[in-house]
Amino acid sequence: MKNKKLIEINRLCKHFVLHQQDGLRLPVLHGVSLSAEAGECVAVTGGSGAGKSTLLKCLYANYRTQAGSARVRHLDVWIDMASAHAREVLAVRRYTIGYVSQFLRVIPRVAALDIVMAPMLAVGMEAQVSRRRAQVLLERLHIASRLWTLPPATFSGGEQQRINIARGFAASPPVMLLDEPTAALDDANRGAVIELIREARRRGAAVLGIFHDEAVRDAVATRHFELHPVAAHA
Amino acid sequence: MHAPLLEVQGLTHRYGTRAACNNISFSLYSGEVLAVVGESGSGKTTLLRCLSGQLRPDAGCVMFETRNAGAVDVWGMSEATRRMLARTDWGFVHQNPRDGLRLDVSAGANIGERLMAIGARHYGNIRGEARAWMSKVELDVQRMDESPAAFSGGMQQRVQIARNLVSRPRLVFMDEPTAGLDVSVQARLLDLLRGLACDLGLSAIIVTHDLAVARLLAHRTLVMHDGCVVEEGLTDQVLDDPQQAYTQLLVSSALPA
Ligand SMILES: Nc1ncnc2c1ncn2[C@@H]1O[C@H](COP(=O)(O)OP(=O)(O)OP(=O)(O)O)[C@@H](O)[C@H]1O
Ligand SMILES: [Mg+2]
Repeated sequence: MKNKKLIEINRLCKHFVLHQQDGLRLPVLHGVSLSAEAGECVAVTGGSGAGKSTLLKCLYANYRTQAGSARVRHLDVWIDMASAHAREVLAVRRYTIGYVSQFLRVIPRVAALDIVMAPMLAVGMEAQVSRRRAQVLLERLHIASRLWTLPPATFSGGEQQRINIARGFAASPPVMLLDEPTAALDDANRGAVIELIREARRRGAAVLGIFHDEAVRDAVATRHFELHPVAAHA
Repeated sequence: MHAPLLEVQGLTHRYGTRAACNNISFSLYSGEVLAVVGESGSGKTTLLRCLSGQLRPDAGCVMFETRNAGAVDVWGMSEATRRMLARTDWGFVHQNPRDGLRLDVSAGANIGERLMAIGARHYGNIRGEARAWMSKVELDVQRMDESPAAFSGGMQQRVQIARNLVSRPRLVFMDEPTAGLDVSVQARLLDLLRGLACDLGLSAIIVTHDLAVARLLAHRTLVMHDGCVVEEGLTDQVLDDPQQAYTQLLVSSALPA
């Protein structure tokens, strides 16, 4: 388990072209290289707009890239998310990557508990086992049980974020991408998330996270990786 | 890796000199839901009709992977074979349910009809299946013997979906399946479709101008503009990081999807 590399980003470049702004070219990532091993938690740092969220989204293949590679070890095969086919990307997302975005994108009419169970069912875990684990996660994240059967559309920002976190950790994926998972949370819940991240590391996950809260970062990160804004001419 | 269920190459269809579909190529794999998005007049419905054997394209080919005979050219076979394939292997959900239903027979009969078309003869079994599908699409089974003519638009659309899925088609074509319905009815129908797509591992091509529909239902999305596919990719990629000028315009003009 130790020293097993799970993430390898190599000279990754990403820019946006804004066609509605006369084709304005917005460089964000320029030759970014970073890798992470099992058990590590790398905190991505840098100012607002430095490209932290963009980096995570490129690794999840939510954003496209222009050059370089963003590889993830998927069932012991390296897959470059920047060039993989759609079906491959979906398989990597299902089995290998847990991504906690900053905001929950709610699905109408689907209950919180079902949202958390979905990634476990998707990898073939038994319904009973999935339900039990979902309940445990929701309890640990202090979601009142009367909310479990409700769709999160009407939940508070912090409650939605905790549903999002529970879903991301549910299937215990080997690679975790966390975009400010504790931003909307109180102390007790921050503590619960810190514990979840530490557990993930202990079971051998590689975690790539953005943590604005320094205390959280110090509690979970094994090292920092700083992103610098790219000069406009890059 | 399996062969694609549907493989489209260089498909072109003209109305007069205007190409409604211009040199379109893509593949669809089993279990995949593909959305075709674009504004009205971009050629989406023409494309769907060419794919589903309803409208002969002027050029290009549509290969469908059959159960027993491998890939066959949809437009190279006889009309009779094509009609057979449409009954056994495909479903087609029209935008207007009245185009896809028979209003002179009961809802139950509408649903059972395709089972008979593929050879089911036992009346009790057919009725049982129809009843099961009534409840799967959240319709009151008590109303099974009523004509869908008296149903609301949302209910008619449910009957149409049940009618198409009852025979377990391998590929379902849907043309704006939620357009023209009230927003709350739309949401319920989308939720139903999402559930069915997951549970049945549906392969489907859904034409829609509504990006939220694509976001909710489709693994991949094709963006059409002026008869051409201008962009394609994973749905969240196309909507969150659109590359082409037209897609950026489409995404930025839409309400958040
Ligand atoms: N989909 C997009 N289309 C166009 N530009 C984008 C898109 N996503 C991000 N950007 C731009 O890329 C740059 C980096 O954004 P990103 O969200 O990665 O920053 P960040 O480091 O996460 O900042 P913060 O700490 O404020 O969250 C910003 O200039 C942003 O406007
Ligand atoms: Mg960010």
